[in-house]
Amino acid sequence: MSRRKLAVVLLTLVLAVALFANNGLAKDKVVFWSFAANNIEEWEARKAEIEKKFGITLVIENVPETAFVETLQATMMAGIDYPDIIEWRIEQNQILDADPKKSLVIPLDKYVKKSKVFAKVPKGRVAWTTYGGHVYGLPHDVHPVVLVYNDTIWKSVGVDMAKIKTWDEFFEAAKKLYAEKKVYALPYDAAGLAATMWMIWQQTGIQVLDDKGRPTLDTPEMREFVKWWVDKINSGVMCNWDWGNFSALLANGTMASYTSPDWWISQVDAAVETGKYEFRVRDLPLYKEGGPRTSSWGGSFMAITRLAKNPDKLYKIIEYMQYEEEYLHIRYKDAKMLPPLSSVWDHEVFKQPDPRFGGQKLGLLQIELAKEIPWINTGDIFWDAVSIDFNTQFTEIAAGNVSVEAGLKEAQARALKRLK
Amino acid sequence: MALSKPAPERETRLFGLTRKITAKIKAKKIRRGLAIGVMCFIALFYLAPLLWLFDTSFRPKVEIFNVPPRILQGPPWETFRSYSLESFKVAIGRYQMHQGFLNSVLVTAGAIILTLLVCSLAAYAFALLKFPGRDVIFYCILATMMLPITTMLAPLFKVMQSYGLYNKHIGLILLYSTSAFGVFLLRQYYVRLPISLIEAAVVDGASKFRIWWWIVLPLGKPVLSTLAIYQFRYVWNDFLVPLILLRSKNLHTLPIKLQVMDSITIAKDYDAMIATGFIAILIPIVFFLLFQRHFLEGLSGSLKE
Amino acid sequence: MSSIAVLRSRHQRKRIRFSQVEPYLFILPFVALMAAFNLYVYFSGIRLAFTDAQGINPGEWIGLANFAELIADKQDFWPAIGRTFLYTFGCLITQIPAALVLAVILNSKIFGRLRGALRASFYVPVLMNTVVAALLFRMMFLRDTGMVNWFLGVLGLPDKTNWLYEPKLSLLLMIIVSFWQWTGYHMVYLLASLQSINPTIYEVANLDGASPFRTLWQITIPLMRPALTFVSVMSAIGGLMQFEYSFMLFPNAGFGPGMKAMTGIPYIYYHAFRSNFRFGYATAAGWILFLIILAVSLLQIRVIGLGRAEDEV
Repeated sequence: MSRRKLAVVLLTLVLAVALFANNGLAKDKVVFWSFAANNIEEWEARKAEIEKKFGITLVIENVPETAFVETLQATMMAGIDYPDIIEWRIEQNQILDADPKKSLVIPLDKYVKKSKVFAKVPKGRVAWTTYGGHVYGLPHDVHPVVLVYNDTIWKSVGVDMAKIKTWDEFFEAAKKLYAEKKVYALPYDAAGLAATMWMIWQQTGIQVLDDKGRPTLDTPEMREFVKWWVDKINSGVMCNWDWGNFSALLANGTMASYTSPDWWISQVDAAVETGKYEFRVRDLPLYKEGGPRTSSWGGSFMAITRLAKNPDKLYKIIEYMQYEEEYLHIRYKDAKMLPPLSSVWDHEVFKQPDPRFGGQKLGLLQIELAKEIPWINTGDIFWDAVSIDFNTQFTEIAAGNVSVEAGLKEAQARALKRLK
Repeated sequence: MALSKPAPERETRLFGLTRKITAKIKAKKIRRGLAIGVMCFIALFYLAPLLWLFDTSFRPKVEIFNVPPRILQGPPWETFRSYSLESFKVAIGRYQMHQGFLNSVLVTAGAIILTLLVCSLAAYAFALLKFPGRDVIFYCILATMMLPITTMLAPLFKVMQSYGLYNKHIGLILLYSTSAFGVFLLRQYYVRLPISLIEAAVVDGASKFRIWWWIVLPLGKPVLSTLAIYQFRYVWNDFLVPLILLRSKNLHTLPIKLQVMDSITIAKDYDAMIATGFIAILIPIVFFLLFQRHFLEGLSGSLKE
Repeated sequence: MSSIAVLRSRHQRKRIRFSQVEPYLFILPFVALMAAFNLYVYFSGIRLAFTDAQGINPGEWIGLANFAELIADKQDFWPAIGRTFLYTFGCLITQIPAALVLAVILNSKIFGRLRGALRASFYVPVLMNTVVAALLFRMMFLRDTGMVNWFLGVLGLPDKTNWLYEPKLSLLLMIIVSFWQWTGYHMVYLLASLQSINPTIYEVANLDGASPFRTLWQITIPLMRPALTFVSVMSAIGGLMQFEYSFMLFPNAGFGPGMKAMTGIPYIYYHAFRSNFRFGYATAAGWILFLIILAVSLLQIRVIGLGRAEDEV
C-alpha cells in the first residue's frame, strides 16, 4: 500500500517538475494571427530572423477573413488561445473603437509618439487606424491604384488607352468596345462601395462624413456621382465578376481592363501567360479635370490585443516586422506590395521594368501615385454603419427599384438613426 | 360455299381487330416510351448541376468558367484530355482538405456511435422497464424536440466555452448525441420486440444491462441502422454549429473548410472548392447507393404501419 | 450466524434498491447530455436575453430593452422575419405539389425497374451538403460566366440577368435552390405513402370510370393527407430554420444584395457573430424566432394530433 502511495507521489512530482521545467525553458511565445494569405508568406520567410532578434517563438496562424473577428472575440472571451498580435484589414475592420475600453486592441499612442520610424508613415494611411484620436494599428501598405488594360483588345477597336483622359472618355470608348467586340471594359459588382466603385468614388473627393462625424450621404455631389455611376452600369459595358473567376475573365478576353491596387496586379498573370494579349498600365482616368488620378483599396495593419502581456516588447516586434527598412523592398519584390515608408522608395527594386507590361516601370508609377492618394474621412462609424446603409440603398438604386434621390435620402435617414 | 364466302370477310375483320389491338398496344408502347423518355430527360436535367460539378472537379482552373461548359465544346472525349487531379492537389496542399475529411469522419463516427449507445440505452428503459415517472420523463424528452439549438446560438457558444468544449471535437460529438428523435424512434421499435425472448433471459438470471447488450441491441439492428443513417446525414452535413464552435484550422470539418476557402479573397480557388465539394458529397452518395433501402426506410419506414 | 444473516439481509436490501435505481441509470447518460447541451443552453439563454452582453463584455441586466428594440425595429428585424415566412411559403407551394406530381408519376407501373433509378436521381440532391449546393448554384448564377444565363441564352431568353446582385431576386434564388435540393426528399416520402394505399381502391375507381385527375383529387390526396401534412410541416420548419443558403449562396458572405437574403437564423448569427457581437440582442431575437417555430410545431400537433405525429416522425 505505502509503496503505491510513494509511487503516486513520485510520479506527480516528476510530472510537476517536467511541466515547470518545460515552462521555464520555453522562450516567450508570441502568437500572431493574420487574415491575409499573401502577407503570411512574408512573415514565414522572416520568421527565423524575427525570432532570433527578440528571443521569442513566433507562432503564425492564418485565420480566415470571414471568421477573424468572431474567432478573436471567442478566444479572448475564453481567455485561452488568443493572439498577442494581429494583422487585420484596414477597411471594415470591426474591432477598433473610438472608446479604448470597447476596442479589442490597445491604443498605441504612447509608443508611436516616441517612434522615429512611425513618423515616416504617410499621415493619410495612419488616419485609417486612428479612431477617436487614438492610433490603434501600424499600417502595412499604401495600395495605390493603377489601371491595367489589355492593349491588344483596345487597339483592335482603335482606342489608345494611354491617351484617354477622363472616365467619361473611357466609357465612351467602352461602348464602342462592347458594340464591336462584345468585350467588357471594367469589372463591376453591384454591392455598392466596394472594388471598382469604391476606387472610382474616392477620386470624386466626396466625403461621407463631415468634420463632426455626421453622415452626409444626401448631398448634391453624391447624387451627381451616383447618377453618373448608375448610368455607366446601365450602359452594359461592365462585367459581373467574382473573386474566383476574375483571372479567367482577363485570360479569356471577356474583360479588357481593371482598376488595380498593387496586391491585385497578379490577376493579370494568367492572361499574360496565354501570350495572346499585350497588357499595359497607367494612372486612372480622371473623374473631373484636376481631380486625383489614383485611389486606394484594401490594406492591413498590425495591432496588439487587449489581453496580451508585455505590450512594450510586442510594440517593438510589430514595428520591426512592419517597418524594418532592410526587408521592405522584399515586401515589394515577393508580395508585390508597396511598403508605406517613403524613405525606401528609391531602392532599385522599384525601378525594374515589368515584363508583363512591355517593360513599363510599374514600381515607379505606383510610387508616384502613392503620394497622391486622396484622403477620406471614415471615422469609426463609416464601415459599420454608414457604408451598410449606403450600400443597401445603392443596390436598390442600381436595380432600378428606387430613384437616386429617394434612395440617398433614405440612406441618410437610416445612417442618422443608427447613430442616434 | 356458304361457308367459304364469309371466311375471308371474317378473316379481314379479325385481321382488322388484331391490327386495331396491335395499334393500340403500339400506341401504348409509344406513350410509355415517351413517358419514360420525358421522365429520364427531366431527371437528367435535374442532375445537370451535379454532373457539371463532377465534370469540373477534374478540370483545370481556367476551364471551370467556360461558357458553354467545357464538356460541350467539341466532342466530350477530346475535352477529357484536360482532365487532371490538379484541383484535388490544390485542395490538399493549400487547404489540407484531407484533414477536413478525417475530421468530418471522426466527428460523424463519434456522434453516431455515442448516439446509438446513449439513445438505445434510454429507449430500452423507456420501452421495456417499469419505473415511476417513466412516461412523464419520456414526454419531456419528446418535448425537447421542439428546442432547436440554432435559435440559441449565442448561449450555445457561451455554454460550450464555460464547459471548456469550445474548439474541441468532443464538444460537437456530445452536442450531436442529444437526439430526442433517436430515443423516440428506438423506443417505438423496442416496444414491439418479442417479449418471450427477454422473459427467457430474465429466467436465466441475466441482468438488465446484459439483456440490453446481448438481446435488445442485436434485435434492434434495423432501427439502429436507420438512426445511424439519420445521424450520418445530419452530422456530416451540419454547418452552423461547427461554424461557431470550431476555430482551429486543423479541426475544421469539410463544410467549414469550404467556407474558409470561400472567405479567401484576391484569388479564390474555385477549383479547390469544387474538389472539396465533390468529396463532401461523394461519401453520402456512395453510402446511399450501397444502403439505398436503409436511407429510404429512414424516411418512410414508420409510415407503413 | 447472526452476522451472516444481517449481511445477507443487507445484501438483499441493496439488490432491491439497485434494481429500482437501475432504469434511471439507463436513462441517465441521455438525460444528462440533454440537460447539459440542450436544456441548460436554453436556460442560460433566458438570462442572456435580458442583458446587453456584447462580445467579451459580459454585459448588465437591461430588462426588456432588447425585446423592445426588436419589436420596434421595422427596418431590419421584422423584414427579416417577413422574409423567413415568404421563403418558407415559397418553398411549400413549389415543392409539395411538385413532389406530389412526381410521386404520382413515378408510382405508375410503366416505369418498372426504372422507377428505382429515377427515384434515386431525384433523391441525390438531398444527400448533398447544403453548403456545396449553395456554392454550386452561386457559380451557376454568375452573370457572365454562369451556366444559367448561358442556358437561357440558348433558349433565346434574356440572358443578362444579374441574379446574385438583384435584391428582388435573392429570395427567389434561395427558393430555386431549395426546390432543387428538397423536392426529392418530399417525393420519396410521398411515394412511400402512395405505395401503402390499397390498390383495390383504385380498381373500384377505375370501374366507376373516374378520370385520372378525379382519382388523384378525390381518392389519392385525401388518403395521403397525413403524409402531405407531415411533409409540409417538416418543410415549413426546415424553411424557418434555413441558414446556409442566405450565408453561402451570395458572394462575400454578405447575406445577399442589400442583405435581402437575411432571414431568421441568419439574423441571429449576423448580430451575434458578424456585426457587433451583440449576444444579448441576438439571444432575444432567438427567443422570438423560437416562439414562432414553436407555434408552427404546435400547429402540427393540432392538425395531425400528437399520437399520429408520433407514429409518423
